Amino acid sequence: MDSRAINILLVEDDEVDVMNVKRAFRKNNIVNPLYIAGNGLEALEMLQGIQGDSPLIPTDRRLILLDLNMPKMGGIEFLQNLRSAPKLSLTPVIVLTTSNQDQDRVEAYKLNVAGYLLKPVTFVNFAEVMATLNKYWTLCEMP
Amino acid sequence: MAQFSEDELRSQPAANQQLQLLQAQLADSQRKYRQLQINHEQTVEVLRCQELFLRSIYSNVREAIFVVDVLPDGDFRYVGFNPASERLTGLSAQSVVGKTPEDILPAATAGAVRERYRSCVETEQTVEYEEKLPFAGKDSWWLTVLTPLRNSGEDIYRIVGVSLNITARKQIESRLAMLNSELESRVAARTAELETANQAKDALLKRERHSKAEIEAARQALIMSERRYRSVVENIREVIFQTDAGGRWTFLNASWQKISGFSASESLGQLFWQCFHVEDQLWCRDRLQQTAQDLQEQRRETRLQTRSGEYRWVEIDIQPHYNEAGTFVGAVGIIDDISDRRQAQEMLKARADELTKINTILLHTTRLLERRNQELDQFAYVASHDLKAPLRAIANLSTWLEEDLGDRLPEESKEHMQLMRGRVHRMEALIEGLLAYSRIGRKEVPTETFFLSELLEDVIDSLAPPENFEINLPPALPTLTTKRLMLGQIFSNLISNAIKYNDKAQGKVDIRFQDQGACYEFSVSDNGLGISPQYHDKIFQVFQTLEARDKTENTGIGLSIVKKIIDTEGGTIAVDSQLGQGTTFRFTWPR
Repeated sequence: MDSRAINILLVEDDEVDVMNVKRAFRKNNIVNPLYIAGNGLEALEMLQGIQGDSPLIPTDRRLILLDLNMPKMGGIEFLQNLRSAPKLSLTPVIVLTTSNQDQDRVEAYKLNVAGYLLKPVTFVNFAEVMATLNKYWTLCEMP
Repeated sequence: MAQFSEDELRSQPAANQQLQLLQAQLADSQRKYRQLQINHEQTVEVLRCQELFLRSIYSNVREAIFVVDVLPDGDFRYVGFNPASERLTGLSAQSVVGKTPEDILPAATAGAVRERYRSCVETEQTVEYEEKLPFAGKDSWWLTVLTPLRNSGEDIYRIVGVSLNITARKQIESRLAMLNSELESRVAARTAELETANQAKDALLKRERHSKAEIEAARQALIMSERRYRSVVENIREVIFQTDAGGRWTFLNASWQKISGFSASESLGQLFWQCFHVEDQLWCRDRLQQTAQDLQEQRRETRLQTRSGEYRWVEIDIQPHYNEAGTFVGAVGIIDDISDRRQAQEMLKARADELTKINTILLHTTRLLERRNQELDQFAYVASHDLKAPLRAIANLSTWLEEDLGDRLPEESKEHMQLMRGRVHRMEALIEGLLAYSRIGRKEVPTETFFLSELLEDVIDSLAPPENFEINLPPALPTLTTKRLMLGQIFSNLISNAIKYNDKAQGKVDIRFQDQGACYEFSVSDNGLGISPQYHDKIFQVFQTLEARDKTENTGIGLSIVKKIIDTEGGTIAVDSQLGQGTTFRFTWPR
């Protein structure tokens, strides 16, 4: 594992969607550590650590793939929490959602997301998108 | 003198004749002769006396008497001038005897005198005339009478003239004439004055007649005016009334009966306020007193109790009435039936109340609607995510199954997998369509100003029509200020339908535009399959398709969206098509 490998946190409640991402990674031999959170709350815990414990995810080179519609804490609410948490506020986030609503998109960008990707019902080349994404972020200097 | 002796002579031949006849009886006659001689002597004596008498007259009369001998040659010679003649002419009798007129008178006068004498001789008649003669260097006027004298031979041998001096008369006459003319001129002047006076009188009369006519006209006008006012008073809708100082009706016009039901004669003498509602009576009474004191007009809406006992809304308007001395003698005024107005007002108020109530309900409904809309938004959101998520999972899972099983999956199963993903796609499209349809009219779409040609080019570009398709735009297209997004969606749907349902080798779409003032009319025509008229209504309904969905994977939402947008914006859409003859969609779009 490359030291520049990016720690990816996928915040997604749909098991099939998680599988979709995993399959795409596997297909493209992406071996980055992939952390999965079922909703915003879980994601925050994983990023911050619970009650003083060190977080589950390494604190550097983090990238979050975020779904918007989730139980307990949705994507937008999660982003608001993330941006207001001093240690987490700079974390790059890419929204990966089925919502093509203007409102969501605008809200997300207001919260400084690095990208907004739509999940079509059948995303034939989803794997390619994942590969591109990974390559791109590997090149990027992290905050 | 001579004249008288000749008369005597004239009777002598007759006596001589008798003498001869009586010669035979000489003796007898001798005696008679002597007797006759005596008689003759007596006669001569009588004659002498007569001559003397006459001579004294001749000598003493005031008139001038002159005698002129008429000579056989026709000349005239004076033979006698009486003393008056001498006195009046200043010529002595002796000096004129044997003289001709020319000898004693100036030539011109003498000629005239001679002519007179001749006229007397020729006519053998007495002539009378007035003449002016110059004697003693003075003109004098004479009235002269010439009388011819005949001798025994019946010849005129002398003229006796008598002249009366009429100078004084003439003078008086001339004065009279002068006075007369003066009088005449005075009369004329007076007549003229009279004439003028008459004219003045006529003018006066005329003026009088004129003023009389004027007065008559004025009187007629007054009568007309009176009649008119009476007719107004009698026919006016309002009651016109008068009361005495105590408030008793003294006059009520015909409308009173119409409004109150009481005849005027029934009401006259009654206290005017007693016919109003108890609550208004005091006001009415006070008003009369105030009217008397404050000189103010007063108006109020009151209730009049009619004969049937009902109350009718009227407006009363009271004004003080004064006699010529300025003493308050009562009130005059108008009562107007305002029951209709009141009724209208009440109706209006009821309507307003109703409207307020409706408005409240509407507000409530609006709030409810807003909440419903929010709910719908929420629903749409949920639908778009929560309904799609399973679909996506199905699609993914079927794909993975295919991938993982590879050759172990029979061809038929692979085909089933394909069909399954097709249905998933359709489901997704349906959801998208439903969401789009539900969004119309709920979301505020911004109004933009843009070139229609650019919009259409964008739309066509996004549809990417096949090579064999020809899309014709009108040469001149306007700049519009409207909801660009909505219009774009309409064109997108219509043009894509035109492309989709076309079986021709060379597809064609014509877009036309017409400015109709209040709105624009657009049409999209194709040379495609066409639509049978029986389906013309159905095509605009949600999820209605004319072909099996498997064939075209069509949701049937497009035209529903088009119609809903146009309806929402206040336009209309119509289809003109026959099966197999192409289709024209025509729609209007408010400016």
